[in-house]
Amino acid sequence: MRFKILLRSLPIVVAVMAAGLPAQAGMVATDQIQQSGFAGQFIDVAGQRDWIQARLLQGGVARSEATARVAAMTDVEIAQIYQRVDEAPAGGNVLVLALVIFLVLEVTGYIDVIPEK
Amino acid sequence: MNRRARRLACAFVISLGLGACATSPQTRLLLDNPPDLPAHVELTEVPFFPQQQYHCGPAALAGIINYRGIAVVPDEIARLVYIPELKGSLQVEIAAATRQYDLLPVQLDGQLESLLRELAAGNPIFVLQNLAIEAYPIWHYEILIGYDLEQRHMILRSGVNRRITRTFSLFEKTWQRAGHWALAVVDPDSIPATASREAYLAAVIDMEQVGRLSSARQGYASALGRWPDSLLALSGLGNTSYALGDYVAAESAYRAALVIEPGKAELWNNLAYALARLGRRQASLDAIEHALDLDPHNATFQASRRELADWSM
Repeated sequence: MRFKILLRSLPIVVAVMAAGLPAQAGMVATDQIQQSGFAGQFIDVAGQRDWIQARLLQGGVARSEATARVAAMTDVEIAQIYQRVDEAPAGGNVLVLALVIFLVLEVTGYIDVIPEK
Repeated sequence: MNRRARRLACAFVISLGLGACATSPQTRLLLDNPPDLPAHVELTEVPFFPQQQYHCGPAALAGIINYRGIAVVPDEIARLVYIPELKGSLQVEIAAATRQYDLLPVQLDGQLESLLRELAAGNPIFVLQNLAIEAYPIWHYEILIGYDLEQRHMILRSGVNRRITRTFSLFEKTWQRAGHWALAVVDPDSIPATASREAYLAAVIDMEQVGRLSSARQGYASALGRWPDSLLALSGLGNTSYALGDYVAAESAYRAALVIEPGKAELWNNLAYALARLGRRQASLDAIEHALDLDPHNATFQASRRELADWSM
């Protein structure tokens, strides 16, 4: 349930930061109809998308794929991972886990690798 | 342990900040109050793709997408979701990838019983698991393909294993540590058995936002089949119809929405555009005036009025 809140509850009104430009005529998008009346926070979506694209490239994703993948995510999805992709990488945990398990096994006498003095 | 752990650590999960759970309360509830469901379900037709190292996400997603009738291989999915440096796939990219195949990734409600209901309805479920401990997680994506109420276990396609079982109790714990995250992946012409209106429409809105308009329109139509008074579904149906050039359907949807909520100025604005496209100039101008009556200082509506007045019919 916690994750559901993460994904859906933020009433983010996403808009390109474009101070001083005249309002656009035209259709009101579905997600904006949903959010009408919310005093949400404005987010620089374009900037966040650029950051994520750069991060994917840095992570080894091919250039043509990185562009498409960023385009395939919604504004809210972009906001969720923006700057959070660098939290505790999974790979690092494996070594720590191995160490923890080793110590637990050693201390409980299940293995006996470290000789007693 | 090292090699096996590395092979299993194939999802990349942004910190969930969850507390540990030593018990499995949903399992207890389920066993105390057995649901009115078949005792044993197994979706044997779900294809199996053994995972490559770190590619549990692509392998599991390929299985589900093939089950929905689209022939893909894990390598193709990997190009959409895998991040080499992180040795895993992000949940948001998993969802984004399903949309690229015109399938809706619908987040479920985090209840064990709902998973059983979905399986009984013929929907395999894409799940995230933390197979290790809270502090040092080993993330893993798997396909839930069945359950057995008498044996008290789940049945999964997992990694290089075509079929494994995991007790309800253990499954609940590994799932709880993963924030109870689970997706039903469905064609837009259907709705998962346990999906809430909010979760389903959220997935459809996402589909619309990334530009897959026909699929989104289908999703809104499906939503209206189950939730006929949904203002959001009617608005979405109007907007997607408009974007696809079906202005007759757009007008119809907007008017139906305005019957439910006549004070929704945005809908008057959008209706005005649909009417303009249909060549009904006066009706169009009346509609935008109506929007402005409701919200006189709205700069968008003012700009719309100027634009609509300028259009030659």
